[in-house]
Amino acid sequence: MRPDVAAFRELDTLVRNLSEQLASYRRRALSSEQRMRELEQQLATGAGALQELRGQSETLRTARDEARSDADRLSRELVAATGELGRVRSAYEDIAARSTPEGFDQELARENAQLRARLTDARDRTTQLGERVRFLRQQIGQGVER
Amino acid sequence: MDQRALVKVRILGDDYSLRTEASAEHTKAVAEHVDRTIRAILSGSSTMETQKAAIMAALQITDELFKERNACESLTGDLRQLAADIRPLLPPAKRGDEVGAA
Repeated sequence: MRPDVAAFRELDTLVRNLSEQLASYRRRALSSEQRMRELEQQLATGAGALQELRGQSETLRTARDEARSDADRLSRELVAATGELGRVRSAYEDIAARSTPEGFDQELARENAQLRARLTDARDRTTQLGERVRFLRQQIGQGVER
Repeated sequence: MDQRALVKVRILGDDYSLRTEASAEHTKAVAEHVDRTIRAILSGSSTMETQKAAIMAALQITDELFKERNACESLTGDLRQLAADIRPLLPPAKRGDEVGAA
């Protein structure tokens, strides 16, 4: 075979192989681009869920702070009520020392009624606070599990 | 048995019967080129003998042949260089055999 013909055939074969190789690279590039788009979509979805979770966390944090504030306030009121109870008891003892048995009974009944009402009120508020704290703990627990 | 074909051609008014493996068209084209070259040389000098004109034509045609050979060799070198440039871009299994590497 003439040298020029052999060289041409060799080059022709290489160019064909190169063309096939480029086609293969092109297919792989297209496949990679498709995969990249899918991953970008997944990333965007994940970012959205993360943002939502952060929003829920912020809401729970605010609710927790409010509950703590309520608890502190109720605690202070309880201390004040306890002090008031001591003062009333002292007054009662003072009155009892100076009153007749009937007057003593009436005064005692009135003071008892007032104290009972205040205790009932304090119990209701404590129950409400306990339910609120329990609800917040459940919400925080669910947020951690997600 | 001789497989070569007999082709009749005419150069400077003389007929020649040529036995050749080439096609008749190719043989006639060659004869016409020789005839045309000799006539061109004769037309440039009214005193030149036919034999000398034939030798001058042979020299001119041989000169063309050598120049074409050189051009062909240069082209072959370019083709090989191009193949050598492309080969590293391919995986080993697709590089093929290197012609004239030995």
